[in-house]
Amino acid sequence: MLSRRVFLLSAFAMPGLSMLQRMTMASEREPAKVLVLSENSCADTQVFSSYLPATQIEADPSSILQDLDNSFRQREYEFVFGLSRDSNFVVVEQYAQSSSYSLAYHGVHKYDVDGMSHSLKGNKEVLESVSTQLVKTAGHWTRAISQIPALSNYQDRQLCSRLSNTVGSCSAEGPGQLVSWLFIRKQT
Amino acid sequence: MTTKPLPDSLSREQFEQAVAELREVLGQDRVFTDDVNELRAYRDVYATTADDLHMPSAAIAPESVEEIQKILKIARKYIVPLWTISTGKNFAYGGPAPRKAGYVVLDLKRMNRIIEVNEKYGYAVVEPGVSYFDLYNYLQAKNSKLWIDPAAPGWGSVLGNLTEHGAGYTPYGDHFLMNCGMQVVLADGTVVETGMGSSAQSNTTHLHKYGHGPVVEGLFTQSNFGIVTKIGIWLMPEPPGYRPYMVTFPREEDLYQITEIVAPLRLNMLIPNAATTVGLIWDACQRVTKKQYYQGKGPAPPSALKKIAKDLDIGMWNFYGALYGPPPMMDNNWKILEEAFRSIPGAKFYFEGDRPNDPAWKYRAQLMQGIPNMAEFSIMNWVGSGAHIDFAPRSPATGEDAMNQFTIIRDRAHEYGFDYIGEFLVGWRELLDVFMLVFDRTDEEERRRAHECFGKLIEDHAKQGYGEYRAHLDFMDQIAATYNWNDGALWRMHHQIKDALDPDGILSPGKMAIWPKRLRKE
Repeated sequence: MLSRRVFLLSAFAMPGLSMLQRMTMASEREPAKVLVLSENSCADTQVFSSYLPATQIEADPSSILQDLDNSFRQREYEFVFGLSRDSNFVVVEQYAQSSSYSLAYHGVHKYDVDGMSHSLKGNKEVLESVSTQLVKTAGHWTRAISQIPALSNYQDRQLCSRLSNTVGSCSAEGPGQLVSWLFIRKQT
Repeated sequence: MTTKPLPDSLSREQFEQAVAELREVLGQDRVFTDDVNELRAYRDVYATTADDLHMPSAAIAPESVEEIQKILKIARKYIVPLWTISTGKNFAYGGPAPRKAGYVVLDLKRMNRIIEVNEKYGYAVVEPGVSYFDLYNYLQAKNSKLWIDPAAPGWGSVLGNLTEHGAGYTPYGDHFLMNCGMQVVLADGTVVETGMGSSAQSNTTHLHKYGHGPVVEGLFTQSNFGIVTKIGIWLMPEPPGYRPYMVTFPREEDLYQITEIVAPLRLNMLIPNAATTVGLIWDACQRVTKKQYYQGKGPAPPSALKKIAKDLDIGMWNFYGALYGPPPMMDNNWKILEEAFRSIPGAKFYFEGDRPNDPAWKYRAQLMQGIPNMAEFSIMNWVGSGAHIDFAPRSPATGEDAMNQFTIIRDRAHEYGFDYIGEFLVGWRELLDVFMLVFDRTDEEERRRAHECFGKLIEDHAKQGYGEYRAHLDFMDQIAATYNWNDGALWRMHHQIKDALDPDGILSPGKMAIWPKRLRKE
């Protein structure tokens, strides 16, 4: 079952932003309802879940399918955001897209011997912000990723790509690759 | 500025007019034309080719047979190609994507009623949008003593899987065999009930399969001769006992003897279900990834596979089966099975409770008990952003054929840099081979290689007399061309039927390489 761990996105709640950024964002936006999904597959997803109140997708995602489908159909959330293995992203994407949520951001985070590479796709503003945060947070890349819902307005649908590299290490227990993603509700 | 393709038979004006008429029937919210927000849901996320080759021009979602009839009238008027899907979860074979760009997807997932469950006679009647999870949850809520037989990912359609000749893992695993009664809407809008259901006062529609006259249900499976809107499916009564088991075997070459042992046991129904011999990596993917054992290019080497086998306490082959029935019967059958499997050196036996932290055991035990799950998606994590297309040839159930197919596929996969991820099932009399060609979907070059490898596998198998029972969209024509006895007599007959039942060629053109006259290359 989805545990309904939802948070209302307010710029003040987000770490890593300057006071000016926070004040600007807070004055411009109504709090948005965000569903955050992640999984317990490795240390990085666990750290990510410590930054945001994430609902956990289990090894077999069956248990959340019904709730996920209902949530998307009822258009309950403005954003659905997550960090997971690609197999779980595919499952979430199926429900999101059949309820007219569109992919506003997608990142592939690969662990290599020398560090990590982040292939990001999103609008220009988001990519610039995330890349800056990735550099600032260095090894704590999930912290940079956790700020994505708060970074920008997502009305600009022009998606660009960017590759960033950061220092990191490949955990022997980890999956070797994770994806982060943000779906936004289509305006009606 | 839209980049959406159009049906090749229509001008933009005609298309817009057809869409406007479809909106009159279905309303604004069940006709989808927005390629950013709506039509991406109809992509094949595991495609080896570019998305735009299968990009629909629109999608429509009827909720009733009457709406389908109205849609067909419009489609015939404008010659709109309709690509029918149930829930669109047939991934590895194309998912919800149409055969060609520009088709309109006829999405039946909103026709999702469970019309009847008959506890006494053990059957259900369902519409196309009913998933295995839906039917399972319904039966659980009613405290039913009937089992379903789910395909491995439980989000698929009961009807869709059956009409694609899908299989499951309980004794009712041959899904089409369990069909009894079908409702079909023909291209001209006529609604047909098959078999006993064609009698107006029928009380045996879902009890007796054949009725009076030819049996026609098969014509509407893996085909485009009509739109199946309802099926009866027999459900297995809960047996008095259920005992799953697993036997691991340490060597690749053990596949020969496993198959020789299983085939007669299956034929004589001492093994009552489509018990499965699973390759090492398929099982391992539930717990580990390739990167944890091998970071080089190409397939994981034998040393890595041996280490995985040791770490996870699994074999190069892992046989999953189950006993069903009263305990004395299960005890008796097990004696015979155990003696047979013990003849293979190194065989190790596991039962319920022996592998508490093994998700591969858990999901196999669930599937053989009719409990749907999604665990098999973990296989995609073997490589980073894994995707797969499935190669599924059939052969006689002999050790020689099993080893031959395994060797051909493994060697070809390795040549193209992929791992062998496969399983073998013994059906009623044949060997069902499933090779999951797993590739990184974010890597263009790897997608191209996977596509080429798949085409080669079809050629390899055709040369040896092995045919595939199912096909991804991109390979339907190539596989159909291997069914070419007597100058392609079977496909010429399919085309005659197509021309008779769907003269305008509006229903799923090209499905299984059955093309309407206007699109055939003759």
